[in-house]
Amino acid sequence: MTSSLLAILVLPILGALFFAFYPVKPKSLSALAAIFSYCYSALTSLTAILALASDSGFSIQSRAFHLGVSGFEMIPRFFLDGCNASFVLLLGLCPPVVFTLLRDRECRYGKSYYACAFALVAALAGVFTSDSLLLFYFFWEAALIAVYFWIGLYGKPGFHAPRVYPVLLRFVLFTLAGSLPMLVSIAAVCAADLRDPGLHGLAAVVSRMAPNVRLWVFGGFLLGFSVKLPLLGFHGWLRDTYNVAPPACRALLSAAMSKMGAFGLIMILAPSFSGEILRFAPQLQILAVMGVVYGAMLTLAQERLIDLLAYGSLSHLSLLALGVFTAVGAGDAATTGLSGSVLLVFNHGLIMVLLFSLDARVLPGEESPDKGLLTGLRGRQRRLTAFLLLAIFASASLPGLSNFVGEILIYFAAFQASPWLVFFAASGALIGAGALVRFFHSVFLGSSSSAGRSEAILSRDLDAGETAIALVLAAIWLALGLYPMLLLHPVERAILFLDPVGWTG
Amino acid sequence: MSPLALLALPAFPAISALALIFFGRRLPYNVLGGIAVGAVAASFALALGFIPMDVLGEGAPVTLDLGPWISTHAFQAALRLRLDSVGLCMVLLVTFFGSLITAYSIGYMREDREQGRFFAGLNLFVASMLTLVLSDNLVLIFLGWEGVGLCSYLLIGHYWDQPGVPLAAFRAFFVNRIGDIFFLLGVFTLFGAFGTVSLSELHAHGSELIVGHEKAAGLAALLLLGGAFAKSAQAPLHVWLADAMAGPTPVSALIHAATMVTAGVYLLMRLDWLYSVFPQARMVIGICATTTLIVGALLALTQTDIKKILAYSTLSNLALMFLALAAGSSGAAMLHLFGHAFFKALLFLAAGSVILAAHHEQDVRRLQGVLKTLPITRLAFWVGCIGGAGLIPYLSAGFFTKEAVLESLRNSRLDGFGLHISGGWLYSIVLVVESLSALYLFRLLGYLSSDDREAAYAHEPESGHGHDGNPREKSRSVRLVLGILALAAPSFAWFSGRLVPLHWGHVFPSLVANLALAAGCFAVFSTSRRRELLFKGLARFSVFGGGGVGPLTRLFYFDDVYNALLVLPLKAAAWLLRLVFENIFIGALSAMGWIGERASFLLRRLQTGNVQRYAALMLLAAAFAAYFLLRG
Repeated sequence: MTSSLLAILVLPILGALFFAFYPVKPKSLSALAAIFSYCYSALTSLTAILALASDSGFSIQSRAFHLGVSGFEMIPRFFLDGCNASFVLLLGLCPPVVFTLLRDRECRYGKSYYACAFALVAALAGVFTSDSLLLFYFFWEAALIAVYFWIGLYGKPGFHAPRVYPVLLRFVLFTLAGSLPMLVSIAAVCAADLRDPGLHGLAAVVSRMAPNVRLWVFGGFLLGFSVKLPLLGFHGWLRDTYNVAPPACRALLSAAMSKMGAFGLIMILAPSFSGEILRFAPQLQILAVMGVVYGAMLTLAQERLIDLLAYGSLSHLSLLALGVFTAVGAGDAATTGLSGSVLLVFNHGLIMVLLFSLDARVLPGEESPDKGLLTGLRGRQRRLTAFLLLAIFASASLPGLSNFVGEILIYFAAFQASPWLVFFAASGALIGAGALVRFFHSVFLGSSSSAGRSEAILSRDLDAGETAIALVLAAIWLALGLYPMLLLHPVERAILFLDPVGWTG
Repeated sequence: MSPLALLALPAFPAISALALIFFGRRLPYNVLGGIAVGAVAASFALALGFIPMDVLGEGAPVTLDLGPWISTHAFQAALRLRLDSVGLCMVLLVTFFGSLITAYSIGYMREDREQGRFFAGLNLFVASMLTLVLSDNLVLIFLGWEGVGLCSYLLIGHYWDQPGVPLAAFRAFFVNRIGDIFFLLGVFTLFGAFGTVSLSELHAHGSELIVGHEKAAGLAALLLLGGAFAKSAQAPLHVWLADAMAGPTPVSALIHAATMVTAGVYLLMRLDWLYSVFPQARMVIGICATTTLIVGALLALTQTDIKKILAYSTLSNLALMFLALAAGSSGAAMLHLFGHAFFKALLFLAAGSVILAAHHEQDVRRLQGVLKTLPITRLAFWVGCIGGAGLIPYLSAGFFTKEAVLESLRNSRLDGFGLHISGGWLYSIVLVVESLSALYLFRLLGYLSSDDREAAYAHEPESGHGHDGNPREKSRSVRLVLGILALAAPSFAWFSGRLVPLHWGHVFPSLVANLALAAGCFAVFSTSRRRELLFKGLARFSVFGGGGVGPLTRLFYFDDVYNALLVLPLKAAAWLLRLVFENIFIGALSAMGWIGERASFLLRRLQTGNVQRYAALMLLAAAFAAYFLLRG
């Protein structure tokens, strides 16, 4: 199994190199990318499922490195267990959806487009599986670099952003403002122990630190994760970056890259800094709930699907953070909240990748459908509309679809902290869902004769292949919604290993 | 029969729904309908198979345990199905009406489009409703609860390109989701207090476990009411039901009259032990239900859309069930649930037949005299109206069931929040308001049987009409189902007469009064001259819509209040956030970037490339350093 774990990391790097340097004909680029993503997806999904099924997961590890005169020790180690397998599974499932639904038939994009895409996938795979903090940071920034070039090379001015570069710059600065403090924290942790303790050894090192140092280290990590997720107040990059990014990039950004922040919250912050989280629990929980409500309220005032999705994403990811912040110190309910957050990561990712892909798929120019200009699109795009509605209902956490399970577990954990958290979070979720459904009604339903644009410029409906991949996602939602123990059981078992019941600070 | 058959009950229609979604467009229409009817009928047959198993009455329930559904260290909800007496009655009701109405739909939807989607929706609805009824815990009930809501939404939106339809579907979706928040909060509170969400465990041990958790349990009881009120369209969450009539008529009959809207009643029946402990909760039920009862009956009296008249009458009848629950009599509520299903399904299906014959005309003023050439529909309408108004004992499906509710109210008493309402008061209110049902049903019947031939439908020479240009009952399945139900409703009336003792002394005066009202109303509304006279008399009172501003024409201002208090502030706040807050926030970020840029331009001036200046600066810096180092 270790070899397949290695392949998860190496394959996308090879893919990126292949697309960067091998002279592929422009016509066959998109097909090659799709085929490559399917192979990668099969391998990754299989490995992740095996890791979920196995008791303790598996890992690869090279010999230790010693750096400099001080003998700083670092052991490059990658692992895959029940906790991070859902992240990896999500990462494996996203690229095929993106490269099928947004297949570039007009050869708009060059080789570097795909090189950036696979570099991003490789970086994400690294973030989700590396056990050493330095490698974690390396991949964290690598993801940023990949996205920087992807948007920089192929971004288009959006509705809210007349120029790409200022937006891109803001995105990079924002992310750096979060990740550089995180680097300082990592350095502090490494310096304290004269070795890289890794994710699994972090808690022990941190517990030996002086309380005020630990607080600063905690702050550095929290900042890095809050920007990436983003939490409320750290979301300044969100809307405009989604606006200028190429559709495939924004789908991966929302579905997978934002999960880097979630990964950090669940795998680093909660286990190692439970005392600090507990200390600031009320503030953090309120911040998360405000994020849910704020994001949802803003979806009400948007006219373009992409903006709705961007703010809806803010709302959902704040809910995820709420799960983490309420789980810590919740005693018995701790595993419930964390399992809910992990499930939400997976489900939210799958829903967002489909929603963002369909959003760009409606109009041929990959623009987002606009409320005022279009109506009655269902007449021409029946399948697309059907899947869009299904995804909207999934994101509204309809029971029977998988997202419900994660949300109800988070609500349960939050309820232990305070019922009002659940009330506001659920009301926020309701407003967000309502806004999305209302948007759907005004654009996709109604009579198409009154449409402001002629029907001719709509894209064709989903073809067989696109329907098949959307059906796979729908089947996953349905299976995990009707029988959630398939995923919940292994996830909770792995989380129990972290011993969250004992996190009382 | 093996307990596994419990799984098959919802599985048949669920599988059929999946098949119809995928292959519905390729199948011939009759095959499509056949599959849909067959799946529901198979569930009905299976449910009949449980009757000999002694489940009914005090018999032992059948349970099927399939392990955990959503289960973690701290939270458990089992995948457990349970069929007891109440459950079996509900299953029989759902599958009986489900199969009949699906069969009816074959005739009704023949000329329609997207039939595959429609029948898949109906099947999925039956599957969800059966899940709701069979689940043994509140979380699994929520699966069915939301499933029926989804189907209701999808089927209301069936004519998705018609104006107004998407909004109607949205309102149903949104109001139900509001109820769901309360439902979920209620479930969590209940779990916090009792440590379980299993209905059978709660029912068995609830009264013991409640000790020490009275406050939480009382809160849970109130919160769960929110969910029940939204689903069963009780004031103030009733606003979606009349809009839901935008869906095809069979949907209105099955979902928005006979089955789904009774889910709230069913939920409270399952938790009757909880509500028997908390008089406050029963007070809330009593007040909301009385409001709904009155609002529904009055609005039914003034509507002109044939389906909306019936929809508001449904509101009123649901309120009657809730009143029985408030009085602590689940039995009466259950009985009226059945009686209402019989006469209301019949009325809706008859209305559907009228609508079909009149080419989707729904305004009763344009449907005058339509029943003349529709013999079976006429029979169905008469049976339904007599049943709904409760005019003739042993023939009216609603007579004994209403009687049971009234009797339960007579001996009840509502206390809570410092208020006391005696059963006598409730009894009188219900007695008066229920006589309105004779009025609105026979007003409708009067219009449809009117002598006047001014209706537009009658003269259009369309294919659906006979040689004389009159509307005809074309569809065999419509006639068949109407016939079956027109027989079944009096049979149920006869059966219910054996369950409810008849106190002639109580009944006689109201019976005579209702008969007189019905006859009078029919006499007035079946001729245009008398109608005009009545309208002239009524026009003096603004309540009845003079000038279009009365409370009746504005639907008692519920929509206006929601708009003013909820929708507009929410939208305004959203735009405020977007325009002010978000723009300032992002603007400030951009400004920071700009300031940074400017600052770097300023700093750049230091880097002139002039070697002498660099050397001077170095010297200066070295001097400073030397000073600080040597100082101490």
